[in-house]
Amino acid sequence: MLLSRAFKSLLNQPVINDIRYTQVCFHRFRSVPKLRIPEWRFRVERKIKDDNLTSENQKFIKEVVERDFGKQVIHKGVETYESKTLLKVPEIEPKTWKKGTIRCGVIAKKLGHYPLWKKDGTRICTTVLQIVDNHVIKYIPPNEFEPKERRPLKKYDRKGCILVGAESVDPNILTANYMGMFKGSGVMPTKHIFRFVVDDVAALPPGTPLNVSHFRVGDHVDVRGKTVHRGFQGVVKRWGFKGGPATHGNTKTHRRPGSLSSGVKSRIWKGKKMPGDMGNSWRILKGLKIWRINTKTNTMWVSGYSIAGNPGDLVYVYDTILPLRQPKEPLPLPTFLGDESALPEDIYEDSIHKFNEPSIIYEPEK
Amino acid sequence: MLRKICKVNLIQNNLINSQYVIFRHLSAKAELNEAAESQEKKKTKKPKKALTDMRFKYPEFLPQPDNRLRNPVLERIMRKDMLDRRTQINIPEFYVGSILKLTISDPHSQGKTNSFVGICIQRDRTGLYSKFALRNVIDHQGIEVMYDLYDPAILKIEVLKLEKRLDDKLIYLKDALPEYSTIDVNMEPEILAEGGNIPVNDTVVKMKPFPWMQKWERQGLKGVEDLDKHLNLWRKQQKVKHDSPWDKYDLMKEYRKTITEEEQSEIFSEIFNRINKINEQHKQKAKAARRTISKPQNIG
Amino acid sequence: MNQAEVTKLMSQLKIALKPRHRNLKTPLGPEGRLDKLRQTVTALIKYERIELFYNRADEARGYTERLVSDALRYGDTHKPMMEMADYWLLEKQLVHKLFKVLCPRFENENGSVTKMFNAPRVYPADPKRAYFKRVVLELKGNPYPTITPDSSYRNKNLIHNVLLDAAMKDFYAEKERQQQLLEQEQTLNSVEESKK
Repeated sequence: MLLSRAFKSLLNQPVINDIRYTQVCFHRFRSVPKLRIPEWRFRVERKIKDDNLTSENQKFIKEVVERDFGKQVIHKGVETYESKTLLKVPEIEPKTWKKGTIRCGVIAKKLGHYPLWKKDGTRICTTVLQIVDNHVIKYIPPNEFEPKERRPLKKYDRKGCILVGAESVDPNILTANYMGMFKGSGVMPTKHIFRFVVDDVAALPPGTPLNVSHFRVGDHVDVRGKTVHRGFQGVVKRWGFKGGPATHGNTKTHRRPGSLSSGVKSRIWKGKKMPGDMGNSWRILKGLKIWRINTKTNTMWVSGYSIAGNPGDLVYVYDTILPLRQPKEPLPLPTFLGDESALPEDIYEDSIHKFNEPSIIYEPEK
Repeated sequence: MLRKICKVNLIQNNLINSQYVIFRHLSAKAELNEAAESQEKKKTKKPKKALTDMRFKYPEFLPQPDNRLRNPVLERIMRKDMLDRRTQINIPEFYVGSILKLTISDPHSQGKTNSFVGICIQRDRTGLYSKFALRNVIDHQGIEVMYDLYDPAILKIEVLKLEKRLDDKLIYLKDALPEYSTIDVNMEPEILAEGGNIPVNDTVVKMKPFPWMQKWERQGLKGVEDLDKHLNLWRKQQKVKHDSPWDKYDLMKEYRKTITEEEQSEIFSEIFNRINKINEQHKQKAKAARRTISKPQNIG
Repeated sequence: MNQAEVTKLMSQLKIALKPRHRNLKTPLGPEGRLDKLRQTVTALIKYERIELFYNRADEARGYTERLVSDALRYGDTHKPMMEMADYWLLEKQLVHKLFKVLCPRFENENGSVTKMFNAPRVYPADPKRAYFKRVVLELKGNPYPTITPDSSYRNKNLIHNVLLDAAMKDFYAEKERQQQLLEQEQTLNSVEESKK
């Protein structure tokens, strides 16, 4: 008895260093879908630790970076490093564009919405895209290009690939593997990188800058972006179901999907619309017209408000693949090769009312 | 592993005893150098008052305050386009409560112009999106028209009476008696002396009986008579329930709705020279137009 | 897209701000949230260094910055400012501290008024609260010793710092040598030109 009592009293004593508390659940909430890096690309940013560098050494490293890659500058409205180490780009021969040839695309940033007025007085909704200091890093010819997709797709047959980088960045942040991709190119390491599958005719040597003059006013483009991540959503928000009535004795079925399947089938069809993770997926808007181009800030005005992503997100711009919106005049192949500085600052589509033109007056029909 | 955890635990227990103040990471070096440096640093120059006062006159040049939607490159382009448009049309200084006459070319009556006189009941949005609404009562019928300020179809904006009201928005005129928003269509402009303060019209409006468009009693309006006589008991209780007197102490809520002084002076110093030049050009044009129209002389 | 409010002018805060406020968990709603923050702001101005959870600290930080910057702007003769200080500081002797001690201290301050540091998690902790980060929030120019140790002296003998030091010496020596060579060339050229 005594022993058991003593044992009980021991048990009742508060344990001083209770290690049971260590099992704390740190991932209480549902985790965000993992960012899937493509197989051809390495991890960009290295894990930054506190290196305990002295202030003199930090200054020294900064100076070496400036010597090798140039100083920090603002180039056409984008914060980058001045591309000091760029190789001299060999002269590119202009080629004739035929219908169906695929050119290189560009990496752009979605800036925001913008209203424009036509000459007949109607207002159009546009989105402004800024091309963020793009440079060609590498061209992979068709015989070497072997994409590691699940099965070889027909669209990659006899096609090359261009790697394009955007926004130069302090190389101290980046991993060694990622830096290796820029080794032969002579381009400063960039923050963003993307691949464009092109025809062999549209090949570009490494180091060529891609500006907004790559496109023309009046042509159509496709814009690919990642939609806003809205998390786990119900069926009303995700798929636009009607939900149930608010009143009339309704209990607990205001935003529910209702029945899932018929009794005859007695199972759920594949692809049934259900609650789940919404957004954070790639979407392409096709056939958007270019209304205006600003060569000074590398921006272009594209029709529509519904381009995927928030303002400040990256999007990828291609020539359109829609058959009825193909350009009537041949596009510049491989890119615009003329003098950039000779272009005017603002280029408008013909039907757009310029802001420094006099007000609109409707003349009577004769 | 266990030993390590125990050690951390002991340190933490000691720390908990001193609840707020922490005597940890004691290092010998004090912050003497930093203090000396901060004394040497001279205070940055205060922005000029003339620049920051432009915010009343040109509120649409300030961007919308939500930081997530802002972009400096886009804002600069937009400001340039707005100034370009201002070279073609004189957009005068006006406030909510002042009376405007606006002429606009109409696609449905080609070759002619359409004009509307009314009291400005609200100004909304910023940049090229900025709008304003005019209200008038014509033939016992209330009419409100919303215009884009930078619409290229607008031919002329005239201010017939320049004044302010007690409230920022006069949308409550919808439910007020119609006499408060009836304005003579053939009204002649009242000219104010230059450089003087803008007069504040402190009329207090009487409301129509129910039904109303909005719950005006909850909005804390100054230019409206005491609304309690219209309300029943339930609605009075709801008014007290939804009142938030602590809102005026919420400093960060206030801060997130505004553009800071430094940013304002940066924006207005960018446009200051050009906008003054444009205004002078419009003044000279108006003077030249006045000279040409001479008074008909009495003969005999 | 709404217009910014223009009635009041306020100076820019030199801290990173969230675009939206946090709803601190209270049964009393927005009024209770402000009541919570009032307590932390008074504690911060009283003790000048406090340790608490990150969410509440980050919210309270903005309010203190705003309060001090307004006090600097309007001074103690401004009636609405005094009302604001009276609301935010629960102990009334702290109102004097704000205007008499803190205002002269931060008169020539270019940066932020407060500083925030990460603190270790309390262990063993209440499992409901162990998830949240802890921080130390302090006013600048407080009488306590610094939180961050003086790392520049201590880390000088680390291996990568020693190696970098050597590299730095070589780097600057070569830079000087190249400059000297350039100067020599220039002098030679000038001599030749003078001879001609």
